[in-house]
Amino acid sequence: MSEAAQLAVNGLMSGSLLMLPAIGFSLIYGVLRFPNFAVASIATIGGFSAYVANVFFHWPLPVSIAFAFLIAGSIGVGSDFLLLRPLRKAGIVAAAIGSLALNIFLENVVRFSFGNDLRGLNVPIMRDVVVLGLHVGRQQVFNVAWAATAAIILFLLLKNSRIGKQMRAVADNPMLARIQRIDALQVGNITTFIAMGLAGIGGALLALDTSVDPLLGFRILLPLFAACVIGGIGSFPGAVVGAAIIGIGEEMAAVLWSPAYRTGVGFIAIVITLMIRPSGIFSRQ
Amino acid sequence: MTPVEALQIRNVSKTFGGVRAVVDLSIDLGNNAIECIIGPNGAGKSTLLNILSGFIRPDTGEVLYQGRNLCSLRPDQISALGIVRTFQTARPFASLSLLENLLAFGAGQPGEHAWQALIGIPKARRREADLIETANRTAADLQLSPLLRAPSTELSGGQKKLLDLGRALMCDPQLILLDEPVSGVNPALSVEIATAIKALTGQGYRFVIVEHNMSFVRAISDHVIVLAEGRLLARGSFEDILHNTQVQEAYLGNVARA
Amino acid sequence: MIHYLLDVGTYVALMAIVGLSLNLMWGMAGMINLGMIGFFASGAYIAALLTTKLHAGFLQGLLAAGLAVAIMAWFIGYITWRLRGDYLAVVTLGFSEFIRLIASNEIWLTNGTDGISNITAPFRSSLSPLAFSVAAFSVAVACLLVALLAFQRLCYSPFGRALRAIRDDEEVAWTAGKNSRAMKATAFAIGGFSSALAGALYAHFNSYIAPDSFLPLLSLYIVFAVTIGGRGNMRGAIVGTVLIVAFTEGTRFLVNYLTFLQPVQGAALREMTVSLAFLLILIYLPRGIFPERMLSWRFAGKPAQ
Repeated sequence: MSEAAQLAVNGLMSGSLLMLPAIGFSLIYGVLRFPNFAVASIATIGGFSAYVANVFFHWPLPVSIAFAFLIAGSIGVGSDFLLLRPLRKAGIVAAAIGSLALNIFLENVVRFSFGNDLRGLNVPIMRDVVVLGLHVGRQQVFNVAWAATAAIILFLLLKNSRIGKQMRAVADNPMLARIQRIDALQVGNITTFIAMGLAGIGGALLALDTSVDPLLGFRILLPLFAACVIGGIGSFPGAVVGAAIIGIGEEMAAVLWSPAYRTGVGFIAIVITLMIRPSGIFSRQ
Repeated sequence: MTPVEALQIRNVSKTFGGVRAVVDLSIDLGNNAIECIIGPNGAGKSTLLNILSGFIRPDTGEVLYQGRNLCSLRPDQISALGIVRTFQTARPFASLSLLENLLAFGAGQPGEHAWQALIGIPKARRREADLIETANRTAADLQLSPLLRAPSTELSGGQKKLLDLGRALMCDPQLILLDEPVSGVNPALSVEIATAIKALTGQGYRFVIVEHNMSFVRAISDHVIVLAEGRLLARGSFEDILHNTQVQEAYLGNVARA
Repeated sequence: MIHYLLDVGTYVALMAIVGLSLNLMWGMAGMINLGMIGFFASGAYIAALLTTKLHAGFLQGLLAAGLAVAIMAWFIGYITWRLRGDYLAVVTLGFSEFIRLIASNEIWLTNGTDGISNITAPFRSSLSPLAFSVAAFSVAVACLLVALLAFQRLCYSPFGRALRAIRDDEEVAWTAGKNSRAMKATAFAIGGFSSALAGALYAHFNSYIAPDSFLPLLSLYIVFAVTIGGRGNMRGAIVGTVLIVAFTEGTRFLVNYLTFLQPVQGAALREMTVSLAFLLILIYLPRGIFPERMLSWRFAGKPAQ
């Protein structure tokens, strides 16, 4: 029984790392109505930004993470504006394929700059915390706290701030939002900045958790999409719940099957969701 | 094309998440050359059409035609039986020309199977030639001949509506279900469409038409069926319906709750 | 140098067959597939395993690979027929990754990341390496031409017209008497079959395959190729594939001049140029180079009035 609980805890830990990029992807999907797969490589960029900040500039962790947010958000919105916005006019398929090409481009920019090796951040090695007989890495707890904080801040932002309400308006009904004089372009850019920034924090936390390399993004691409599909694409709570489910699912797969098939879980999860409840748990329709 | 029998709708019900779209409906459709289904919004007309054409499964009941229950059939199977529908908005296949749109609706073309298409069996080629001839005639009947090679995206709204009619005819139908054929159409064109439909009944086609446009319904229908809140409210000639107080109330909003 | 060009040419021809397959599924039936390499790889592995472990003949291995993958592809098309573009994209990507994972991990079956070597091919031992390359190239190009003729025939036929109708408006296509689900599955089966054959040929010509020969990146490149060539145009798919591979290989030479770069940087730079070039082309030519042609009425053999 405690093994199952340990598994669940591990799953929730890794799920919380997946949560932020998943929220980012869902946000862009909801407001801009297209899947921006570049979220994956932006997460990688976030991870490397935190690495650079931490290892080269010797900045403390909170600053490094904030740095990751800013870099990821900026590159995310910049690349979207220059390269993806013209494609969105040509249709959602063109934009989606374009985002895949952008993803390859950004991943290789990182690879060009840093090579393929795994990089770790300078974090003190801390002993596990034992709570109720369950082992939890102390760093992991911090990571979850970071992820949760970011998610909560975003949630409050969406709910209460003017820009949050505008984002929701554009997501729900773009035509009506236009009539209400909401500048969809500006809202779109802000959404992309925030969403990509979140993906960057996610990448930074993943880098903290284990390490970062150029393939970080690709490794989370399928689980990320699976989390969004399970939770309901375009839904904030959906991305959170979906990420938790995927996290636990991957832990189970690693234990019951083989660690190599962790990514298979995302694929299977998508297939199952589409067969049972295609619009996801928190579907918007 | 000779009328065989009617669509027998028996105790059909459909509920969508709390909204009772169709409630225990039992009627026969298709006994007259042109029947019109009218009713206020939310009467269940679209749902009924979707059930008849196989896009929705009813919760209860069945629709019998030539001894088969349509509710267990796929839309393509229902079309093959001779029951063809159109949609509210004219929806031509955007990447096909007008001619190809007509050909695409052609029934019984073995060339639509990959293997037959690949080896180009003579039967498929002959069928294609036949279909082209039929398409040419249909286009001529609807005064669309000069536009045969035009991409369907270049057609005007009215031409698209006529194309819808033409496509339905290519299926070799016995009963044609038209979904608001003159919605958003100017009076001159709706007269044109009404004339075309009337002429087609002369060739043996039968129509069941869902419409809101009362002058069109008056001009064209042999028989009118009124639905309200998912049930059959009244049926008869247009004059009968016009003077039916229940129908008047349904449209004006004071629906007597049965 | 000639040897190298022949090998690249062979590779291009085989990849172009996969491009044609994608064009059938996506360009015509509207079903995007980011996992074409999954079919290619499956074909390669099945043929390789049948000939090396079970000592099947060359042609038998090819046929078995094609049929097995055709059935698998049919199922995928049958199950995913309702899926919208982006979902389908990720599911197919996941599928091809899944194939690669199985190839990497089921060592008992596939030798894992070591791959399968010494895959035989007819005449390899009796011909010199250069002559064999010429033969392989010829076979590959011949297969490509046959595939082109077959796919064009399918494209400009009632079958192709029905697929396009399904792509344009599935609901109306049902009403027109088309069983959209069955037809999409058929399109997948045909595409899977030809991709698997191409993969099997690759395995034999290359004599060695490993999971890393079939990275998901290649699936994306094939999507890029079909996009640039012009979706729905069969010759466009071939031209697009040639362009993409030419670019990918061409940049290899250019990058060699930049001797101050490390190998990993060189590889990264090449992928950066390909993806960026693709993006720019897509922005200015969203429909690709060749437009789709509406010619299905030619099937009857005489022009319409």
